[in-house]
Amino acid sequence: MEAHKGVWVFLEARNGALRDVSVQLIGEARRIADKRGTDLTGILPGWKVEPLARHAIECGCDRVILVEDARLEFYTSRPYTKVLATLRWRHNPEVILFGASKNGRDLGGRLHAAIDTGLAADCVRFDVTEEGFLDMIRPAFGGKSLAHIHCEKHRPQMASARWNVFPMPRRDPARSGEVVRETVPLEDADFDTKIVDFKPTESRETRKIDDARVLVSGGFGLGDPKNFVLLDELATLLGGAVSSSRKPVDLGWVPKALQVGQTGKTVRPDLYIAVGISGAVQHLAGMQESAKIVAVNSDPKAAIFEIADYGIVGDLFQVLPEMIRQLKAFRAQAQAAPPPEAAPPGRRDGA
Amino acid sequence: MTAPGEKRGPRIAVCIKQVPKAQELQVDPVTKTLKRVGVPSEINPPDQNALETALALREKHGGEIVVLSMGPTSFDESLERAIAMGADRAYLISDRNLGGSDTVPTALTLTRAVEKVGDVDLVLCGEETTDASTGHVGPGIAGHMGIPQITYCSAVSLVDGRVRGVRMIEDGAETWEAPMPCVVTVDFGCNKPRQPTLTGKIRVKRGGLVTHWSAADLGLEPSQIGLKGSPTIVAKVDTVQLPSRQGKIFEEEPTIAVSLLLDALRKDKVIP
Amino acid sequence: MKGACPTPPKKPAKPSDAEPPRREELWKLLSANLEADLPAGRFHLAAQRLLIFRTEAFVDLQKHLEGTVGLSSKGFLCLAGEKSGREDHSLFRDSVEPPSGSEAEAAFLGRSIAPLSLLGGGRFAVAPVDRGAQRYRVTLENSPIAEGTGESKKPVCRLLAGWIAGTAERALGRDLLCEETSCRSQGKPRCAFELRPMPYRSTSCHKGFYSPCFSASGHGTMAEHFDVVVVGAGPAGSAAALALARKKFSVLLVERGRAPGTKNVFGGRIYAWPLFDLVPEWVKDCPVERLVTKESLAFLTPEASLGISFDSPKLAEGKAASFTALRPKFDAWLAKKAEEAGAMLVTGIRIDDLWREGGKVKGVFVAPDDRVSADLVIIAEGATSTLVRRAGLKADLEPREVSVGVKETVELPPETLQERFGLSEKEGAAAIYAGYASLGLRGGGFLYTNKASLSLGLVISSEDLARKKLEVQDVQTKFRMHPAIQKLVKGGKLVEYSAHLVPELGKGMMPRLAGDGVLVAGDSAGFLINNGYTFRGVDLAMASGMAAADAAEAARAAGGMSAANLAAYERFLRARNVLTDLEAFARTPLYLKNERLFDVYPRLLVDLAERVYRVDGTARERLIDSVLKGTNASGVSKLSLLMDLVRGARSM
Repeated sequence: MEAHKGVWVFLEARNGALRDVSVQLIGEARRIADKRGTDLTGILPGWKVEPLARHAIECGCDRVILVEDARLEFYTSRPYTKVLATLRWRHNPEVILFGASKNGRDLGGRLHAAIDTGLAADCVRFDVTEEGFLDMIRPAFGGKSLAHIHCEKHRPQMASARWNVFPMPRRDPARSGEVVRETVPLEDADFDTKIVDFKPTESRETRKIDDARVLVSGGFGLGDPKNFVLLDELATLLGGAVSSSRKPVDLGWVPKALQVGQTGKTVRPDLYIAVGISGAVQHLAGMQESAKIVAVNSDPKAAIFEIADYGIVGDLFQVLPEMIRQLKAFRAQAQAAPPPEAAPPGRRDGA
Repeated sequence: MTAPGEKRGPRIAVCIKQVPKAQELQVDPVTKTLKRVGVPSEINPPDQNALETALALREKHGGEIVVLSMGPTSFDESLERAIAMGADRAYLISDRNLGGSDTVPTALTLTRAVEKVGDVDLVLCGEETTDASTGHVGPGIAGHMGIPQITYCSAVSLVDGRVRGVRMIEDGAETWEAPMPCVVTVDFGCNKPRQPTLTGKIRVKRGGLVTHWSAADLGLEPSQIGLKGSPTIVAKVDTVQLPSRQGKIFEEEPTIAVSLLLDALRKDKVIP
Repeated sequence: MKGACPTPPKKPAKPSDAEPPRREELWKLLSANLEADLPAGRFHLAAQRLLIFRTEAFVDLQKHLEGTVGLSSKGFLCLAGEKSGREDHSLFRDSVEPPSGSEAEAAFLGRSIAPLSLLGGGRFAVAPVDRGAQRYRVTLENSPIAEGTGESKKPVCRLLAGWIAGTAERALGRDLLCEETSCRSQGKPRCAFELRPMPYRSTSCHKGFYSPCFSASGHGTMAEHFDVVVVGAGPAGSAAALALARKKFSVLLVERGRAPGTKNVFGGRIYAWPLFDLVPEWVKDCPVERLVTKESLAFLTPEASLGISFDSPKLAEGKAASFTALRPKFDAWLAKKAEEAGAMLVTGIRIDDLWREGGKVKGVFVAPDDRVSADLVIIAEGATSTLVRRAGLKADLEPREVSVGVKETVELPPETLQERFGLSEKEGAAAIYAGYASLGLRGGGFLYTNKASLSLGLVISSEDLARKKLEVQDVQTKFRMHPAIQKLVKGGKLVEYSAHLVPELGKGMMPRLAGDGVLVAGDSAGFLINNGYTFRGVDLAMASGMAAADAAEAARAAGGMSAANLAAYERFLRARNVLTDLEAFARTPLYLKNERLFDVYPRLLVDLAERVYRVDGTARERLIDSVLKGTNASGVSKLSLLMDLVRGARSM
């Protein structure tokens, strides 16, 4: 096991850029590599992706292994697995980390069976134990507890990391590192899976709920899909976006892309307003790290109140219109007479 | 069942897991741990979507649906439900040595079961389980078998002997096409699983459709499975320390409550 | 796509070769077949009466149906369409034998279906999809239902799907299933239907063996047939299934609850007499809570109560024994007995309809591709049976005939129960309450002791509740708070509350009990006696289930489950004392309609008791004076008092 050295990060290229989750992971992987006193390598398969290697180095990679092949332009499971597996046997890394994007999980899942090692999914924290093992920490039981996963006897130790739990590392143009080109023998038979169509998500909603600083989230309590209009209006006033708990998605009220929770997205906005959401553990798992949580629910016993900073017990059809009215009134007032310091009503500084 | 030379429909293996019903899971307010005792079980919801996908494919193309699961004999309940929903037969791999398996031996065991069933054209799994949420087993089976995989599919069809799956990924819907045999994992909620039928339940009662296999039946050594065969261990479990919340509840009438709330949020500088 | 433009007839894989109908054809059809009786306001087309109305009228009907009964509306609409299709086919019958070969068959089908276009049904085209499997794709341009409905997530042309199946069935002479796979209302350019063979049709599977019968489409379904299907695993259904299984019938017992007894509310008291015959060894393992040794009847006013009680160990002896039981346990026990005898029990399935063909019941229907055939169906699904109505045996219950039953289960330690009611460990008490128990509404209260709990409840006329604008829960709460009841339930923990409908039918209000291939038993048949001092149902249910088994056996011996052969059911009901007992109490429901019995008389009796028993130093009066004074004060004439007394005595 002594032979295994170095921390690797799988760098997922998508549309000429690195996926956010890959970049976020570089920052965390850097920390782990430093703790282990080893270096950090990014693995970047793709086509014409060299500029991205530079990006990865500026974010913290010491080295990027570039495997370029026109057929690798878009991710498919078998060739990417082959690239990773070949490199793994060639270099014996100690740790490989993946961003838990759909493709990252697809790759990790296939790879771990192919090279017979463990894989911890959706980690939210990493650490190094006294014995030097990677401590892979992932939510369990709907986020109410954290499980520490260790992979003691197999190498590499592999894990995928959840989106948006690690901050974006600062890009340092002065950082240096090496870009190493390697080849992996790929045959046509490896490309038996074809991508025959791609339809980008039309609504901007998907992006918005990941990035939004304010989320107004609706649950079954809204009673009817058309009542989401109320949330839209409130979200627009607050410069945020609308999301949802699982039930409205199941009922087909809103697209799955808006779902927050264990089977949906994990979000960490500055302000999360839960409207008509009872607060099942699965939902809480996806939003409990929001900076401020507001709950509006008619049931004072709803679990959502237990993790809320502020709550209003009442009928959302009274509360929401009232919030909208007061926000508009406040805005109109502010415009009529700017506050004495003349500072624009300040958004919080960027995190 | 088929005359020689005649093209039969695809044989579809659906891998399912029995999980505690998510809605029934509650956290004990005192111990802050999950109450698991006495919680009713169900077929892992994404696996239900996978089964429904298989049933719809069989309606269209004929063929046969074989359901596979790994777990204690209490999982028979879910396998019988799958048959009552329309699956043709089911196999449960149940063995004390399998206890504590992580995704590596689980995928290996299911792979061996798929191979033992034989002539499987399509392996369907749910995208992930609601209790473990790894999503690794489906790709793991594909990795062990060395066959193509299409994960996170919201729609699956068979076109000219190839599998076509619409993958819902972060920035859009990709349509992948792969030759069979192939592993496909199905998105949670992409269809509405049907209810068990009366004729299906009668078939369950007539019996003989659920078969149990041991690890040895699949040629698995004790060292390959269970805790011994699992690369990962759960070293410990912490209770989450959530950021402490003020927990201020405004119970005044709406106008006042809203005004107090907005004041508080402005003070916290989260709204202008 | 394919059906968009008419294609040359020689290309067989394309949709049918039917030319678009011409104006003359319509005229020809109408002039040859249409009879308009304008003064009477009647149109007949080929001797069938026709009504012309706006498409929206039908669409509204369909929407309301869907809103009311949800998913099962699909079945109704399909079936209605199928029937109509079968019968309309005679309008356009092609006298030619259907040709062989899938293309020729498709063309033939196209011609059979096309005439609907003449009636405004849109434009149809038929093409084979899978030659070997006899599957066809029917496309429809301009569906009136889809266009009338507007946008919908699900296909809406259910009636037309059924119509196609019915027509095709007549045209090709075999059972077919038609499902709409995409619909114009879903935003598609046209509607498409898939027509395929009915998957379960062959009835060659032997009972008790599983043999997968793959249909041509490869769908692994099989024909299921039983001698008898019993709907409902309550006391009537399980008794019937048990008795039938013993008589070597193959029996399917279907229960809609997750387990037998889970859908039941019940006061908890069962008269044991039918069990001596049905499960002779019942005493061994029947989940008896307590044997009733103490009966009482009490009249309540807001504060006081006047009761008579009968306390005798004899009550628990021999065939006259009665016991208290918890229905989930008792029903599960009886259903288990039926299973042990060989009946197959299937739970968690709701039977929406009967499978009928030409007035004969041929089995049960869950969905078009989920039915089970049977020589005989026994309906034993409780008071609110929809199947009885579907079988054409009975009209809707009128509210006047229905009571609402509520039951609470209150947990108390056995010792406390025994002490409060003066019982030994195994003994139980049963009590009936009249008067203020039901706030003077028609009906009464009951109380039974279980092992470690008591069942407390009311049965009240739903009509009276509606008239007084009272909720049954409120009446129940007042009943529980009554001092006479409070002292019995005090300190107990309310663990369960449930409510259901009780038909107050009596003989003469019962449905027809037998039809072609169908029998009705238990509450579904109205076998219930409520004469004010006893509530009986479970015993009659079990006895009627046994009588149904007797009738099935006799009909089998006589050659089949025809209505004529099953008519003997009534004789067997009499032999098992079900009808005889009901007839004996025939006048009861009418007698019970007399509100004085529930309101005035209890007050009068309690008032009388107070006059007799209260000694406060004032001058005493003769008893008869007290009675007369009481009656005068109550405003009831002496004549009506006398009449009620006579009527009551006669009916009891």
